[in-house]
Amino acid sequence: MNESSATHTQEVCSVVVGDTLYGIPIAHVLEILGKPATQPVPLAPYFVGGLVHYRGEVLTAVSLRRLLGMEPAKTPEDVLVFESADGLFGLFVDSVGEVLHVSDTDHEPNPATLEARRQALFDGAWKLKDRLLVSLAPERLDPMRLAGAFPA
Amino acid sequence: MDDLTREFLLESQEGLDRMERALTDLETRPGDTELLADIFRSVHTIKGTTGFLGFSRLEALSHAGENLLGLLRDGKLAATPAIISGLLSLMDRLRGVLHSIETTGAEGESDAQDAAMIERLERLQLGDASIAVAEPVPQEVSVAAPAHPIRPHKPRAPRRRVTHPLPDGAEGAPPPASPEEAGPPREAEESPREPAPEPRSLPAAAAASLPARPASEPAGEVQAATSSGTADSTLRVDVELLNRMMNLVGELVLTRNQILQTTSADPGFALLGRRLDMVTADLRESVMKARMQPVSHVFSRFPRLVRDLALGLDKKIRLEMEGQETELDKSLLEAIRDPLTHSIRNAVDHGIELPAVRLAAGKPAEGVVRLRAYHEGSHVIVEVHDDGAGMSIEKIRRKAVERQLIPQQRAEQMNEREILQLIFLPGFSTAEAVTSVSGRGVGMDVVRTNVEKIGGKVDVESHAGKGSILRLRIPLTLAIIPALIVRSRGQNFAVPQTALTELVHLSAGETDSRIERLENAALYRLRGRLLPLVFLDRLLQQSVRESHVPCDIAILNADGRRYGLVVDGLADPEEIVVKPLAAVLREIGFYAGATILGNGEMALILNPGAIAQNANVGLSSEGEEGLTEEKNAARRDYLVVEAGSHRAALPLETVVRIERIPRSRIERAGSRPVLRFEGALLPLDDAAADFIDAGDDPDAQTTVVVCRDGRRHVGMTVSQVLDVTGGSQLQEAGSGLAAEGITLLHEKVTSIVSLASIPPLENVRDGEPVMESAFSLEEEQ
Repeated sequence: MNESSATHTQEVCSVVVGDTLYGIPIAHVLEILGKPATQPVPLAPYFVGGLVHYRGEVLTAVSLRRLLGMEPAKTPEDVLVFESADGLFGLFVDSVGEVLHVSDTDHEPNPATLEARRQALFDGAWKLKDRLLVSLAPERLDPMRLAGAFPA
Repeated sequence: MDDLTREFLLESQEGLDRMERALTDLETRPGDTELLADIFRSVHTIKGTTGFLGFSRLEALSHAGENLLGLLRDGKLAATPAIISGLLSLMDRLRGVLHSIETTGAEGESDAQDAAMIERLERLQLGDASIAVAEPVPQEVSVAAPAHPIRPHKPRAPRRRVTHPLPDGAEGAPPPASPEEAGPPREAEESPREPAPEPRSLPAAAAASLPARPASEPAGEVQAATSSGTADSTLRVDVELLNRMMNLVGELVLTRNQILQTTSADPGFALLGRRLDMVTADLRESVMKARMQPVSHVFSRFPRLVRDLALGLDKKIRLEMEGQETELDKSLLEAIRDPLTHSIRNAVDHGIELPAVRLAAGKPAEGVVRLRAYHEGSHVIVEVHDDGAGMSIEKIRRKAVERQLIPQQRAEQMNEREILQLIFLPGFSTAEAVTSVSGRGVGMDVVRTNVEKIGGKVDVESHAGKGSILRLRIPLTLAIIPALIVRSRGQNFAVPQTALTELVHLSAGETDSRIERLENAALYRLRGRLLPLVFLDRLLQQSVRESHVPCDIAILNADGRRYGLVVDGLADPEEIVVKPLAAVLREIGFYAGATILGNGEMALILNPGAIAQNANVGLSSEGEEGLTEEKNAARRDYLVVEAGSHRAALPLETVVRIERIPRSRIERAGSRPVLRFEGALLPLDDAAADFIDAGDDPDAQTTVVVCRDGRRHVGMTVSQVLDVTGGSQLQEAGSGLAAEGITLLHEKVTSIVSLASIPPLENVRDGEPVMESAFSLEEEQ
């Protein structure tokens, strides 16, 4: 990584879902819950992975796998906690990796060839040395917004 | 809206509430100078603050009111009903403007109605011509007001300023009025005001125009001192913050539970764990208390309501209120506001008769509506009692048939109590004509729905010629509710206990035979009546279970809809803390929230009313089935038990609860076997004495059925509880007399246990005298 670059760099939390590496600006992540107990919600919109317990609150957690139309995870998932206008919410991911420093100069917008749903969810990607880090913006994952954007 | 304005709105609303109460009191005690001073103070505070904030319309209105009140306070004018009506409508006007500020941020243009209001108040002042001369000219107010800078220019004042009863600097707006206008309670604050006009928060012009005030009367000083004392010891707290605290306490409770489960070799750790346990319990109680408010917050508006209604209906009515200090969770208090208002309207309009009718019936011309609040167990009861004519059973019966709420034939079979329940059906009204007060057929059903929504119950009692009583039974708090945890396809769900009436277990072999089908509709025959069934797994589109596995039916009664909810199994009842769900999940409709159980697992809380509606469960008049059966002497329900080696029956309505206890807990008081139970002594049946002397295995358990016998509770030791079933009354051949002490259960003659045969404790002769504590009759649900 070219940290020497004079341009703006930021810290992102890397998460893995399937074979893809995603990055979420660390400033937005309230907390990471390691493999918490979850409670499925029958009849919930398809993108809701279930409920998780976070500091006395019951959070609705969005499943990135379900959102992307992938198979359900076979092992327990980690949850990232975010804050939205409607309150706190969670995001199920396969696993949370290390914190990476990325520079704005390495960021590229979504390619035009990307499928429409992913266009709406992804915020471009950072070019790492050997792979791509897909940028996720938490405000696009807010369940209220998803309910409006992707009705079942 | 800035903080200052928000605080002003809150304070003004409270002031107006206080004033309204005082004004209606004034009507009964017209000469009460303390009341007058209190009202004057409230108006004065509002006027002062409005000038300070630049709300000229409010200022003009309150100024006119203040002038009139000044005269009243100084005894230059007597408080006639006309004046009180005038002042009350002034308050409505003020409320309207406050509302507009709250919603739009601006007070709106003053209109002709304002002018008319001011003129009305001025005319009232002239009621006594000799005083009229002393009046200050109200027009000056409007001149002074625009001179004030508009709000945005003003730097945000420090909060402290606002919480003072009066930002005195604001006084500058109106010209100094006649000396008597200076309210006595204000005077105490005069001195701090003059040396510190706090120009940082006040526009210079306003500060400069501060009028010098005459010296105070001593009486005023005392009052001011007490009122500021209360202000110092209380604090306004955002409800959100309290909710957050409640959540965190819930979290702490869970963490505590986990810590207590962690076994540690260190004895000191166990001790610490117990301390933590105690502190957590205390903390939880304190936070709950912080959310409590006295019911007077809601009651306070009723004197005005009753007064206005009574005037409009030409009735004479006195409102008596009792137990105003009884406290209730804030959100519940809000929720009962409308149902109570409705009930009081009903009492005034339908309950209390016209004075002439009352006199003819030998009653005083003045009717009494009594509003009473008190604690009962974990509930608060609010009663609306009127000494009117009572409800006419025949009229209700006739109207219910006319409005096709029940079939004619059924109406004829119903008893008094059942008929009374009909008033809660939607669309019911006995009013001959629709009045502005009531008679539109929306009323009691709304009362019931609203009260049930918060887990409460409504009950009505009526005595012909003597009046009626409406009783609202409200849980103390919404945040924590008792619930039964049920399981469906491996998941936990919580069913609020308030909706639960009974539970039925079907074993694997029974599911096919006991669940009957009418086309697609599944039904269960409960004591001869068909009950619609809703399968939770199918409703929630979970994986569907096979038909030959055992299941449980939770029989629910929600908003008058009665049905059985079929689940895989039952877990323990638990007191659960209700957590709200995100909007996307609320929309599903079947869930009232979520909760975290004692074992750390989560559960969704079911909404029995919404499930009933979704499944098209109709409103049933069978909703009151329980009552019918209770009254029906020929057929009663019994708890069938095995005592010793024979079967016996206990009338179900006497059974309070069933407990498993170690035999060693049974003790002897005198010659009688007793059980210490919930801090009181429970007399037991004779057979229990055998356990004391047996002394075999100290861990052996026995079952005690706690029963109600008149006002006391007694315990029956039984070896097994077998069933609940309906029994038929037997008659002696020939005489046709009802046989006592036996009943026919499952085609077998079974003896009914006589609870009276268990002697009361005061009969204990030998040994120490035993105090039989008054055993609480209110079992906690």
